[in-house]
Amino acid sequence: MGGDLNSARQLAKEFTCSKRAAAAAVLAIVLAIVLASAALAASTTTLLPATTNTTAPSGSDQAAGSEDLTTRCLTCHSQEYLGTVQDDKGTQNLYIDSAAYHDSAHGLLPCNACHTGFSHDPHKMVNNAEFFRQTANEACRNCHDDQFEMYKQSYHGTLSRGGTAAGEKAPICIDCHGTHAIQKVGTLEYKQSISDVCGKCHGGREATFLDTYHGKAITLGRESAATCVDCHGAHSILPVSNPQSTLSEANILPTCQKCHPDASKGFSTFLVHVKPTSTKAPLIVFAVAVFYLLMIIAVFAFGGIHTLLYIYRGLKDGMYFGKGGGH
Amino acid sequence: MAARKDYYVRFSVYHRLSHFVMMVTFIGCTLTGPPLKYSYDFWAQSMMSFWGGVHNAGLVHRVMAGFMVADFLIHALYLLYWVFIRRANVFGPDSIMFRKKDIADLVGMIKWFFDRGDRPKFERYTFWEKFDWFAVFWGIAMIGTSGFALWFPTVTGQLVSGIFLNVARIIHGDEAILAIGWILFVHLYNSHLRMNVFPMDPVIFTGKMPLEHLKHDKAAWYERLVREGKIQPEAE
Repeated sequence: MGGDLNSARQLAKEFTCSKRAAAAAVLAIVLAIVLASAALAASTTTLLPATTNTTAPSGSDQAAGSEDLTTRCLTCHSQEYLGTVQDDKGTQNLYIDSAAYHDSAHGLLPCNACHTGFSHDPHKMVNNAEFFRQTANEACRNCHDDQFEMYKQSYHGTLSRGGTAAGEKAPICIDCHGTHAIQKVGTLEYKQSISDVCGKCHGGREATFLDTYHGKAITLGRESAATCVDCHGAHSILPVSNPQSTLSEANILPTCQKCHPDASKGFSTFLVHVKPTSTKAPLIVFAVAVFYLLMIIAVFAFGGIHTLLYIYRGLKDGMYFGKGGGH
Repeated sequence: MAARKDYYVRFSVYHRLSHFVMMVTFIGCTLTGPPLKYSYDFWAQSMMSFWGGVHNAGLVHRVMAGFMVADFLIHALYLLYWVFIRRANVFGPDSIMFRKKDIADLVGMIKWFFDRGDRPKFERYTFWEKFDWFAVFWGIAMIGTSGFALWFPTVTGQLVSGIFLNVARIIHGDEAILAIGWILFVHLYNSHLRMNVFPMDPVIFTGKMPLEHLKHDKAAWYERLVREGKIQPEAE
């Protein structure tokens, strides 16, 4: 009797198993069709590699050989749940936005083009963010040697080699250009982001720039408007006090003339980074700004109070609701 | 005796045309300038897109400004004609120039608001209408000069220091706040939402002011027009 029951259970189990298997197969087919059509529809978007598709484990081994390194890395690193981890150097974000990476200027490069030292074996050489920072400039140099040489001579480059406290904060390539979502420098989006990038360290300067015509126009999408780097220079940037700077006494006029061919010495004395209501502004700028501020207050106080009282009187007389009519 | 007309032509064809050009160009500049000034605000981007970008909006702004300045210059000629050829009394009751009576009228208005006296008997122009006119006159002089300075920055740089470009930008932007704020919150109320003309006074477009409005709004002028025989007195 017990045996009968056991065999009946066995039968039922086998039946259930085959039903599950069939369901899994149907699910796999449906998933495959959905994924394939999605891949066709969005051929520019790279989908997750097949290895993440646990419903079809049999295919993964076959596909592994043709996968490039980037796909292998992103198998794990495009998972948002990877999130941030803590180590002795602080928090590190291990998540890479796969779509943003593939849309970036470097979207076709394998990960180890920049993360040098990595081999096929995952995590043979796990290093912390500090290591990546230290090696980043050298990695960029492999392809962008000219820019790197200019950077080396620049204030940022000199500062970063100084070994001082300020030097540790000095920007390296990735601080201005970004990392995985790195953009081509000619795009409007990149131009619009420049003042933010510079503003990370030069905050007050960003606000005053955005208040100029250049800043407003670039914010509103006018690509030809100048940004920080058009005046200050980019890779070879130097302090304005340095005679070699693009904005030094001797060089400022030619810099303005890049866009304003008729610019004169007087034109070049326009102040970009000035807050008009600051006492640090030139006296005439400050005086005019304060004069207008006071005038706006006075005029609107006069006009506003007169108008409000006029409305008050009109309401009191019921003029707006047809009760009066005498006026 | 002809039937008494129930309106008085307050604004000549020139007045109406001049105001119409001012109104259209002012609206044009208001729709194209502030999106640049407030580029960081959420509405600026969509307003700029409407014009097709900063460059196009700037073009519309300059065309509008050109007509506005032309309107202003023609008005200046009109004033010169009246002052030097027609020898109009600049401080007389028909003039838009401020005079002593305006101070008394202001005090009288404040008393009237609180029911401490009768509404002042205004002459041809009330003090707030004079203020409107002066605001436009002063405003175009300032916003126009600074606008041209910003339109041709390299010429400005050849004439004066570049710091004047900083100054011009403050003047242009702040004068715009003054002008737009004044028109929206003061001029529109006083001209159209006034108790006896609510919700709109078409006089600036038709020129015709109903005599009952004239008698209430500008009693002194009404009485003078009756005295001068330009309006027939009311039949008793």
